[in-house]
Amino acid sequence: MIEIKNLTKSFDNVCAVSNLNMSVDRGRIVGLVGSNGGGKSTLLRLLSGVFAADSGSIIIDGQALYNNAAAKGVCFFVPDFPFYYDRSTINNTASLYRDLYPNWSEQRFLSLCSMFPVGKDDKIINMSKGMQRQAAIILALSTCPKYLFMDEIFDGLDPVMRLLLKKLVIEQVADCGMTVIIASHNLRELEDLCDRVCLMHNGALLLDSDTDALRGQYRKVQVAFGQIPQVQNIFEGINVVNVWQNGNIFNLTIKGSDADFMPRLEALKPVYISAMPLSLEELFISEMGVYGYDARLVF
Amino acid sequence: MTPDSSFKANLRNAFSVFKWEMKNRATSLAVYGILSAVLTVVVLTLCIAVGVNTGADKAIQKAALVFQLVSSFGVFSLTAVFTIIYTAGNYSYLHNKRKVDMYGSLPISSTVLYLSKTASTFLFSIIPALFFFSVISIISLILGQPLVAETLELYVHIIIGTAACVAFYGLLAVCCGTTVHTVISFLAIAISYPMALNLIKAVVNAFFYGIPRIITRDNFIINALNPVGAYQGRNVIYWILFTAACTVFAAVLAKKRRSDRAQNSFAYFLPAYAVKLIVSFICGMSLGILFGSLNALANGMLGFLFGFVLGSVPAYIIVHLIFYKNFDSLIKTSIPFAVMAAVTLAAVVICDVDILGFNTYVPSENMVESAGIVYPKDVIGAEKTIPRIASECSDDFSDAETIKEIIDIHQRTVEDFHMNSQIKFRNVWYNLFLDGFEEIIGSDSSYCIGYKLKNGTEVIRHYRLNLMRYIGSSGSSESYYEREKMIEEIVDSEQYTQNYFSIDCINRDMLRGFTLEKSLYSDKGRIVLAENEKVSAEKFKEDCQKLYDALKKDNVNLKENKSNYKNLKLRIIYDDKNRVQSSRLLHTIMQLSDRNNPRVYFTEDSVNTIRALESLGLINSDGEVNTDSPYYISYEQSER
Repeated sequence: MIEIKNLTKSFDNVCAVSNLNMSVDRGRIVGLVGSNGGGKSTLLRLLSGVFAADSGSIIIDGQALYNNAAAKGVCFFVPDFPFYYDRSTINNTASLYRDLYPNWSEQRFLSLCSMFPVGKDDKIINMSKGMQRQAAIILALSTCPKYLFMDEIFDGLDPVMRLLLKKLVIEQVADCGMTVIIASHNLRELEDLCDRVCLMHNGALLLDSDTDALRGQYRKVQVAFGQIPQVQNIFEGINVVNVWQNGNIFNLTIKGSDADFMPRLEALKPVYISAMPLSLEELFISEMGVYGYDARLVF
Repeated sequence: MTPDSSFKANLRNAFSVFKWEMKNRATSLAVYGILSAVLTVVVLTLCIAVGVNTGADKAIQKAALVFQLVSSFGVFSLTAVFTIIYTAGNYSYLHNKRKVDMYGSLPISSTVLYLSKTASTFLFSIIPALFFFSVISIISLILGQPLVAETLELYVHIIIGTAACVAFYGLLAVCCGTTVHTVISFLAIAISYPMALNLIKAVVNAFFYGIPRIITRDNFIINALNPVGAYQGRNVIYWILFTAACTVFAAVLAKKRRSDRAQNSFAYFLPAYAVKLIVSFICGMSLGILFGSLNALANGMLGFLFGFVLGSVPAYIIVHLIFYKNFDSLIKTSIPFAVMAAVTLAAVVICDVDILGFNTYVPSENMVESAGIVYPKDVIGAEKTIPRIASECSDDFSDAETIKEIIDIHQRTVEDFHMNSQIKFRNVWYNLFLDGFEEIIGSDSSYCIGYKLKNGTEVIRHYRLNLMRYIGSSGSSESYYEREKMIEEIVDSEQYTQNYFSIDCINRDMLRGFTLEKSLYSDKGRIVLAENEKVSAEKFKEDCQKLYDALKKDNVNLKENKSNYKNLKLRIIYDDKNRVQSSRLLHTIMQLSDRNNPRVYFTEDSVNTIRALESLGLINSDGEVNTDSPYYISYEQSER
């Protein structure tokens, strides 16, 4: 289990992570989403022991992580731009991890090498971005970590490899109880994979919820009026998170179940009304809009 | 499987990182190996080919000696270059964000990782070098040339030098956020620290012109923060302690280091402060001394003050901008600079004013128990510093008349050396660039004066005559020559000769042999009583000892005596540890003086010496060199 308490991290005058509290049970797959510079990568680096927190604590399985070689032995971090020496190959990098990670599985390593179309003895530095990602995935999963932290892991992978990655992660979570935290802007992939989503903005955690529950909490509603009701606040009494008007058509993001808002909307006598669950991307945009982070900044 | 954080596990992890580093550095190691191997073969081929072509006697052995020296120094230089490459590369894991991600997430503590990196850097540099030194040694031995001291010393020099440089660079790498800053800090401190120390030394020697040189160029303080100086092989104990201290300190800092400082200016600001202070000090002092010596602002001291401020402040700002890239925190970090400037200016003013009266102090006769005056160039024998020479000479004379003369000489010297600020600043340049030069070229004309006072204290002074002439002392030529004459009177005395020119000054451990030949033209060769293949080492030692003991019995000395027994020129060969290494080499190459093999003057009255020479078979009864002696070398042989 991962327990984060009052975690804060700053770089010079910029607060990257601000008083963050969070806990992650074993066997969960958590998606970490948020605005650019929101603190996602910093949080992953704090979790994997690369950075030391300014204050607060990170406890993994009852141990403080930072500079604790034993605790770090069951964690693995795949950064957004993994580093490789000029002569590094999957094989010679594996020789290092084999010695350092106590749970390294040679069988798993060989099996993964056969699944991915990358050469074990080819120089990683000469590979494409996607193939370098595949190399990183092979090495990461071969260490059989209890806690796997990945930053933008889908970036550069083709759809087939993305599917393979998701399958492998789910298998390992199911078989070994691995806990995964993935930071990504590819919300479509996270939606399929994660059972929990955390939304970060300006170093703070805005949202932390199960994916299913989240979907159930928010609805995307399109309402069209023949004539717009002449009242000051049309949607008074309805928990509208976001509204976008195009003539007589209103696109609403509403927090709440159908039973909560449908009667009130129908009472307004619209000519058309339609409610659908929100995708993670739409949810992200809506939530961020509440905090002033939306496309109106651009246009 | 439960991870283990015991010592054994840490050691295993460190070894894993070391193995992996070796794989990553394989290309560099291969390049080094090829270059060293080619260098060795090329030098060997050239030496043998040239040696054989000359047709000289023992050509191969001489070629092997040249090969040994040239290829060893070549490998030494290559190793120094590759050490720079390995060191900068290995420690860059602290300075690159992507490397920080990789190494920071590995299950290995930052201290163990740092120590593993340090060990790998050191071993990658040393082991290939030692391998090639061994190859060179074996080839030399096969060719019949034993290892010479210069080659053997290289083994020690390269280990000590590499360890010190790697440890110091590693410490700076932990403190700095980028490789560029680390390299700048290393070079700046290594170059500017000795310059700063030499400036301080020159100022002290210039303003207190009778002060004996306590800190010589060999002293560890001069190179204390310049680990490149460790390659010279001096002050080995200091460099071992320095290496250990840097490594331990760096390992502790590595543990606390914020890894997010990679690609930022500094994790710890110590190198930045050090470089800023030292560089601004040097610039301020240089310009200040220049203005002082030119009497700018019509006053030497005012000129110095003006020059110091003008030199140090811009230098400080420029170095700050190089490191920080902006003016932020310039004011905040200027407090150490302000302190340095205040202390420096105050110290120079205090030196100029000579509050304690060091320059003008001459003890009165009734205070002195014994006194002495000596030319340091007359002191032979074991390694002695100027302060020690001056201290030991204070026992030389205890009679009132000689003490009075010495005090008189001292008083005249003090009067002649009286200088204003401008001359003192000019004096600094002399001390900076020509310090010790006279000794190196063998024309040291300085003298030491020492007193033992009745209250138990000691007063010692060291005056350099060439300095007086150079800077234009306030004394006249007449007073200069009169003073010289007075010194010569004491130097020519029997007591002085006994103290500094008797055979006792050369002790047995220093003895290396003798040479004997006719001082007038003779078609005979000479005797060289030194180790050679005709005589066993024990026999040579015994013969040497016998002759030395005989000379002692006859109380012969090394000062010129007009008459020589049967016109024989006897010289004694000894190890002079009193000479710095560079000047020994210079003397060896240029044969600048006979200091290492002075003449031993013996007459008909030196019966023990004559008897020893005859019994050792070095001379015949008619006083001719014995050509049948195993130590005899003919003219033809010596020319070859």
